[in-house]
Amino acid sequence: MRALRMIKAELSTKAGRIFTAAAIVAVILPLVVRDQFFINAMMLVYMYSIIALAWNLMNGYTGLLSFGHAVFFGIGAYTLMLLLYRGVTPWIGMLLGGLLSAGFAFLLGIPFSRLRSHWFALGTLVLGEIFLIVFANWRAVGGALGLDQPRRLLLSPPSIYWLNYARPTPYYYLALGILGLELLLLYLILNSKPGYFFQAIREDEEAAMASGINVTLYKCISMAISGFFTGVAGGIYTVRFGYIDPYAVFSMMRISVYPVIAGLIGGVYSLIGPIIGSLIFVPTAEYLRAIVGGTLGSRFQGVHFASFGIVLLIISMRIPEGLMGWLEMRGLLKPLMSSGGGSDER
Amino acid sequence: MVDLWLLGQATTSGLLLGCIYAVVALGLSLIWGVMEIVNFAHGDFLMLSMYLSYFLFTYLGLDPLIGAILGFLMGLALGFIVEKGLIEKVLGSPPIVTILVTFSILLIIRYGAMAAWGPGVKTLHPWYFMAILNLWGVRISMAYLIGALISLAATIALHIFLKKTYTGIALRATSQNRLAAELLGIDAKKMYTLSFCIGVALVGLAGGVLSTFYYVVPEVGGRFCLLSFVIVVLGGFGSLLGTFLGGLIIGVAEEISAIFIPPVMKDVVAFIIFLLILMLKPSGLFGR
Amino acid sequence: MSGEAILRGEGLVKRFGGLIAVNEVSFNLYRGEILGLIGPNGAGKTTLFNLITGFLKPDRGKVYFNDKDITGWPPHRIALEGVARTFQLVKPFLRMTALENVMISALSKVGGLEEAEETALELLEFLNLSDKRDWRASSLTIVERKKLEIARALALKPEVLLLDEPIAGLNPKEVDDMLETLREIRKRGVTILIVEHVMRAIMNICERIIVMHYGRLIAEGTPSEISSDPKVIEAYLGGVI
Repeated sequence: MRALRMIKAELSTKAGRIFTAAAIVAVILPLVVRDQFFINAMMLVYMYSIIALAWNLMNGYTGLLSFGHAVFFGIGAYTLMLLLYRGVTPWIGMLLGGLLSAGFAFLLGIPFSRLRSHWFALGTLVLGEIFLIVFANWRAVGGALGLDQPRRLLLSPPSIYWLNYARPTPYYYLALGILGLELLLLYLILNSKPGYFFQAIREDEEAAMASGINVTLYKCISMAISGFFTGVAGGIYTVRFGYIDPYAVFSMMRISVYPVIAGLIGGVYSLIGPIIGSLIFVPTAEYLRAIVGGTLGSRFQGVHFASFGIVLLIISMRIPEGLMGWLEMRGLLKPLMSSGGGSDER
Repeated sequence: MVDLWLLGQATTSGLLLGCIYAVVALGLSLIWGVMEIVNFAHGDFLMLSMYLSYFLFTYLGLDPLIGAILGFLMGLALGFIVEKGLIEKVLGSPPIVTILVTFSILLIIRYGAMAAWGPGVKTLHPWYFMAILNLWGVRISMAYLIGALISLAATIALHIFLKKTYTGIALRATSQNRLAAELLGIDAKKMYTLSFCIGVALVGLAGGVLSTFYYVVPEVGGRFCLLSFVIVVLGGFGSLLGTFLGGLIIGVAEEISAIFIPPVMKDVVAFIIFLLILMLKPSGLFGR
Repeated sequence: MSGEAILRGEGLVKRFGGLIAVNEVSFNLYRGEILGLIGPNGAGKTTLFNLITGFLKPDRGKVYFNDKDITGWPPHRIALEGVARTFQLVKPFLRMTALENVMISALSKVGGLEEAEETALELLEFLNLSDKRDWRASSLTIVERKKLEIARALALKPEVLLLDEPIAGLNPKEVDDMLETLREIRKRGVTILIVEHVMRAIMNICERIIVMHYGRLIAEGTPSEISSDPKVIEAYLGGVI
């Protein structure tokens, strides 16, 4: 099959070999490292990578910059939790959460596809705010206090069916597995017709229309795929932490802005970029929060998030192409699964 | 059957409030019209101006309306620094870069404020905060009225500036066709800086006005960013008259909906209006 | 030139605020011909193109393709139906290779990547771009980009090709190449409507020419008829014909 040939070719490049090595390390890591805090941190990195990859499908590959991915995340989280209350296994909950997010994202695309880049971005930001307000005031789904997992789950023995473990290791593999699946699926999509169309839309919408592409439809599709995986990530969060509230899952800073920064640090024109970016950014941000947060107290949040702003500012002004883009331009490494092939001979 | 009087009351308040909202949105619309960028930090400049008025009132006893004027001046200065220091450098880049730059500024200002002044809500209450005027049976908040009058004055001044002065016309020319404007000898770079400064200055003025009755908190920018966004889309990108009317519509919609739904949800109403406009008439009510 | 009009415009009107860009324009494009559309700058030629191809909706009037009313159709649908266009300021997909650029349009018509690649390769060959197939469009010269744009349009397997100033900026040798290519395209069964300013090219390749001025059609005829038409000469105010 053509796809298998392409994957084999991709993995035999320099970047591909590094990736394969890293993947093997990732799989055996929990068997070697005992530090649960570290395993948990890596789980978070994978979870954020899932979001960042999904976010970048819209941004780096379709040209749709979103500051509101928390919306998809939160829908996934709440769906899983509410289904849990009705005795539905989180596996189905995760799937349905993803599908619901996808459906919502698709419908959102219909009015939003008319918005030009700036207004689209602002619209998504605003959407996130709206969802936060709505869920924080919606008593039927817990309102501002959020939702705890059903008590009987806390008391039941851990099982794969309910995904109610105490240790982070199972969730580590859950997140890693879904990340791997997402990477594979996105790779296949991007090397097929919709993938080509997404990139054409990113490059030039009018030219895309003149080339027979139904731009609105494909924007909606891109958003739906992006929403799906982000929703699944929301489900992962829910099973891992067993408690959700709107200020956490619809958080602009914690959920919407993280993938933006991660994507920019790593580079938006490849599939691997956002993952690298998450690897760099997430542990740093969380580490800072743990260490510095203690000393500064309530003012800390301001400093913490303001520093995100500074990081974002520096990167967007100095190296907008991100780490992978920087490496590529210097001819050091062609990033794995990068968009837009070919050479710049001139 | 809803009490007609209540409806009339809400409409009046809404129109007054809408004037103030309109000024905020006008700044955003102006910047977009001339520079083709969205100033994500728009609402947060507003927040800074509100804090300025708060501090001037609390520590110096200065009336917030003076704060509004100082806010206007601060807006000019701040706008100048930000535009020349950061935005000008990325104007040629693809949209994502300029979006990220103004978004970064949003983060730095909003959370810098939180770091500096804490997350607590502050209010300031000048003598007219509680004053209610009774005009033909309609109760009008004095703070709203003064705010609306100042906003109207600012809007008219802006209109005159854009239509009658050479600089204003140059600004409009640049917004319509940059190349042609440059061929006529207009320095586009100066126009960009000017439009950004005026945009932020307007928001500086509005901040002082709003602080007389609105709560002051670091996140307040988010709400006005949302409202401005909806108003500009409603009024049509690039149409100042449309934006002003959009402001009035949103103000009225907000006050009227407050009769039926909990006040926290009024932003949702604005957003739904926005979605409807987008689906039915993509270029807003008046815009190009 | 056969008698049937493959593309027809009837009473097309387009206003922008107070400016009337296209003023009651009706035209026929006959199957198999190469029709030229000329006129001074600002005459409304590109606007007319945009009306035909769905990028703008006319205020009044209709567009018919093969007797089907395509007025107001979205651009992608018109493109798929059989009316393809190029742009005056070329719009390549910059980060994608030449091959990928052409494959995009091909993919709109056929389902599979292999088939699309075949079509694209053939078209790149036809336009002498084969050796640049793996080059990013951003690295191509303006001439190459113009040819790429035409290849991309042809990948839609259109019956009608609307070309917006394909010759502007080319040197004489390149112009001759382009004209030859256009003749080849017509041989493949594609009817062409071309907007151009380069007179010698237009006179050379078009059997018929229509002239626009201030949004109206002021003349129609063969190249020799047009070049001696006083209305046309006046419109160009002494421009070279």
